[in-house]
Amino acid sequence: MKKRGYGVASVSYDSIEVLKNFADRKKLTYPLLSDPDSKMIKAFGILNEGPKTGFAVGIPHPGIFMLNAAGMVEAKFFEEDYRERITISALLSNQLGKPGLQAGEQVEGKNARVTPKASSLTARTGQHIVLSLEVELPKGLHAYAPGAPEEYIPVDWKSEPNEGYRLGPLITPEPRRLKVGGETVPIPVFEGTFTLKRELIPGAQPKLKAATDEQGKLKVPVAFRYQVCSDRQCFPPQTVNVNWTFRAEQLESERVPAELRRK
Amino acid sequence: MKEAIVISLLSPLLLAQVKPSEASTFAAKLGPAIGAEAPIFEVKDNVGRAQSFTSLRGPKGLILLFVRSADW
Repeated sequence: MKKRGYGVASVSYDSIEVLKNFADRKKLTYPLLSDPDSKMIKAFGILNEGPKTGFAVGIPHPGIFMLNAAGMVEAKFFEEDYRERITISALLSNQLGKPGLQAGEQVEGKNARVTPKASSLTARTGQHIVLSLEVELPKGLHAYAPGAPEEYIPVDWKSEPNEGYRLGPLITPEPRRLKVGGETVPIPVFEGTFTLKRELIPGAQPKLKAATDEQGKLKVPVAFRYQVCSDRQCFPPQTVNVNWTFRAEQLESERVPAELRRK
Repeated sequence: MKEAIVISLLSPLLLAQVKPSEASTFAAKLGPAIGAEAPIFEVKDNVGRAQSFTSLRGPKGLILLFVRSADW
């Protein structure tokens, strides 16, 4: 993140002592800001007014603000369902186009090399992880993008339903419009190296656990279908199987010592 | 690699919750609008240092993660 030119800090209503304890325990290196009276939370207009009494009074609606160097809001992210949360790595991948980490074996398909990447190599309940499928085509060949006429087979990536997670819709880059022999309208295509994305949202703890193997690995297999053509000929449609592997992690449950806790 | 480590350390806490959908009316209603100036703040961090936008920002800006609590 720093490499990308952005400073990072978290804000919560916890006392300095709680934050220090947490940061030491987790070996965190970014500043954790303490806003015990929720002044900063209120100034940002994101105080959660739901809790009227008890320890939850003063919490914010959790979310992220991206500020530019002049202090203006560039982007903001909030989710109504607090059980679902974006990860900082998914934010980087979506907002800043950060390339993901390789999360499985590269597969050599016919006329296409595909590499599974992900914004994170660990999976926790409710996170949004960005899965990227990097596709490299040889020079002079193109694959069809969604929206191409029926007789052209567009790239697609299918998976069997799994109780342990769900996948978001396919996100494709802007295609190039190519004039193909015989067609009056240009056809949307991908050329060279392009990346298809889909969000992975690991499910509730027991289901995620059930979908995880003995080594604590969560596997996400998909079937990538494509057809490539040159300006002279088309090759038969292909399907290659690609696997992402994640380390499934339990939700955080360790707390600070009792005497530090908010009453 | 260093970045990957930082990210994995960040992820347990950075529980800001969201789909990156500015389109969501829920997000649009909360906090200053896109393009608006963020409020000025001055708070202490986990080691007791005074911090503000100026001390925290990088050359491109600052990412602020509002979380419910580091403890529960």
